[in-house]
Amino acid sequence: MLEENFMAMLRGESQRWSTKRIVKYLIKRFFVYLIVIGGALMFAMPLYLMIITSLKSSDMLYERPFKWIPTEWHFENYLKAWNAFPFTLYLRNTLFITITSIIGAVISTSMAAYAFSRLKFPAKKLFFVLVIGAMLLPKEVTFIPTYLIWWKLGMVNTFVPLIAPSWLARGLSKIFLLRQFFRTIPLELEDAAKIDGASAFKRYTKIIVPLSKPAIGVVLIFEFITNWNSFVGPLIYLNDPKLYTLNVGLNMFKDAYAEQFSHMPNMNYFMAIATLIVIPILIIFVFLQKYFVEGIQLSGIKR
Amino acid sequence: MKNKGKQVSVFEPIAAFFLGKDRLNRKDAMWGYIFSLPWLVGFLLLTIGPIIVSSIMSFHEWHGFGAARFVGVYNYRWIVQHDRLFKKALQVTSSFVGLSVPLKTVAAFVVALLLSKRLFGVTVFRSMYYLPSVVTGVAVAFMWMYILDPKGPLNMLLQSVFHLKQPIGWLADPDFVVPSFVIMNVWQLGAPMIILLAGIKGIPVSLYESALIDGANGWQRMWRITIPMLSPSLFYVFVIGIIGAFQILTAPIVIFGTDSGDSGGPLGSGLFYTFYLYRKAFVEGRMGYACALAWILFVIIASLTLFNFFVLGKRIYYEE
Repeated sequence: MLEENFMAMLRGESQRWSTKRIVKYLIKRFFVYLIVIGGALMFAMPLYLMIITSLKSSDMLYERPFKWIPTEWHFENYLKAWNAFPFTLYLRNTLFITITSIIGAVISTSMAAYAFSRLKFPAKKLFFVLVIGAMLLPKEVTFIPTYLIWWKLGMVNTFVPLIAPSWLARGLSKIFLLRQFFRTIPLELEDAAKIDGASAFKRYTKIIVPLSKPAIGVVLIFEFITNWNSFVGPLIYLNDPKLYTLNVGLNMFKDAYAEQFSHMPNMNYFMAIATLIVIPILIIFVFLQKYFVEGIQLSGIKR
Repeated sequence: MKNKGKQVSVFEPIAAFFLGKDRLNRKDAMWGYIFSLPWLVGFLLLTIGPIIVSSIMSFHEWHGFGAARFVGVYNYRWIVQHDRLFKKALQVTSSFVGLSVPLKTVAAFVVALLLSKRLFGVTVFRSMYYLPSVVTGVAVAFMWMYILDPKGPLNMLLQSVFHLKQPIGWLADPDFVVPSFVIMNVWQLGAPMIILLAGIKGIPVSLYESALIDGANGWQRMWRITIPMLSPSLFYVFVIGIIGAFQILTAPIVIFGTDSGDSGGPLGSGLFYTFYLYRKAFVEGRMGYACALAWILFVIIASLTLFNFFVLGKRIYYEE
C-alpha cells in the first residue's frame, strides 16, 4: 500500500510528491532489507555451521580463529561416520516405519475426515467433539500408559507401536485439515453420484480423494517429517539395536564416541550423520514449501 | 398411515438411534461408522484406554514388574510435599516457558510484519526463516551442542566482538542452560510466523487507507490497526506456544542424556518437567509416580489454557 503511494509519487500523480519523501522512503526500505537479510542469515547460520562442521577434520573443530569457510574439505568424514555404526540398517528401519506410517495416515485420516465432513450419522457430532477434545490433551498424559498398553500386548521391541497410531488416525490435526478441505468441495458433485447409486465408499474413492490431492499432499509431507524426525517414540519402544532408527542410532553413536560433555573431538562425524538426516527434509522443503505454508494456514496447527 | 402395508421392524428404534430417522440415508450413515472405525479404535486404545490406565496407575506404586501396590494419594502427596526435583523441574520449566513463549511470539510477529511488506525475493526470505522449524529433533540438538560449546563458534564470535574474558558456558553453565534452550526454541519460529503472516495479509487494506487519510503515522497504524486486528492470531500463537513449550523433551534427552546422575543437566538446571517425567518412568521405572506427575502437568497446562481463554481471551478483538 505504501509502495503504491510511492509509485504514484514517482508518476507524479500524488499531490504529496517531494524529494524529501522519496529519500525518506528509500532509507526506510534500506533498513527493512538490512534487517530482513541479516535476520535470514542468522536463522540459516546454525544449519550452515552444521554442514561445514561435517566437512572439517577433528583438529579444525575448535581451532582459532574460527574458519567460516573450511580450507580443506573432508568428504571422507561421511563415509567414515556412516560405516562406524550400522547406519544402513537404521536407514532401512526408518524408511520402513516412515513409509508404512504415511500410507496408514493418508488412508485413515482421510476416511475419518470424510465421515466427519460429508456423511450424516447420529454419532458424528459426538465423535468430532471427541477429536477436538483429544487434540487438547497433552500427550504426556497418555505417554506412559500407552507404553504400558503396548507392553501388555507384547508389542514393545516391534515397529507396531510406532506405525499403528498412523493407521488408527492419530494425526488429529491432519483429520482437521482434511475435513476443512473436504468441506470446500461442492456438494452437487457428490449428489449427482448419489443419484446414480454410488455408495459412500465409491464417492470417497472416485470423487473426494482425486479432488483433494493438494490436501493429501500436505498430510503426506507432514507425516513424513513427523516420522523422520521422531525420536522419543523409537527410543522408548525399540531396545534392540537391530531395530534402531536413524535418530536413535545417532544418539547412540554420540554416547559411544563422545568422551565428554563439551569439546567433542568427534563432532564432525556426528555432524555428518546429522546433515544426512536433515538433507531429505531440506530437499522436500525446497521443492514442496508451498504445501507447508498451505498446511499450516489450513489447519492453523503445528505438525 | 405412512407405513401402511409395510412391516415396521422391531429393530426400527435401534436403527433410528444409530443410523438416524432418515431411511434413505441409512446406507451413508453405516458408511459413516465404517469410515470412523480406525479413528474410533485408535481413540479407545490410545486415548481413552491410556487415560483410564493412567488415572488408576497414579494411585499405585509400580516398578514395571510384579504386582502394583495401591497407595492412595501417596504419590501426589509426596510430589507436592517432599519432591525437591519436582520443584526444580517446575522452576526450570516455568522460567523456560515464561521466557521463550513471549520472546518467540514477539519475534514471530516482527518477522511476519517485515515479510508482509512487498520485498524483492520475499519468498526466499520466508523459507529461510521457516527452514529451522522443519529440521527438528536429534540432528538439531547436536548442532546446538557444538554451536553453544564453551569453545564453539558462538563463543568465538562473542569473544571476538565483545572481548569477553571468559567464554559463556551455555549448556555447561547452570545459569545459562535455560537461556540456551530459549535460543533454540525461538530459532524455530516458523509455524507461528506463517500463522501471523496469514493474519496480517487478511487485514483489509481499506483500514490502513482511511488511517492514512486521517493522518495516522506508522506507529499509530501498528498499535491501532495491525495489533488489534491480529489479536486473535497472536492469542492463538501464544496459547499454542505455551502448551508446546511445556512439552519440550527431545533436546534435553539428547543433550543431557538419561543417566547423568540424579539431576538433568548441570545442577539440575536442565530438568524440564517432561524430562523429569520421562526419567521417572523409563530410567527409574516408577510408572505410578510418573503417571501422577503427568496428571499434575495436565492440570497445570489446562488451568493455564483456561486462564488464557477467560482472562486474556476477553481482550481479543473478534471481527463480526
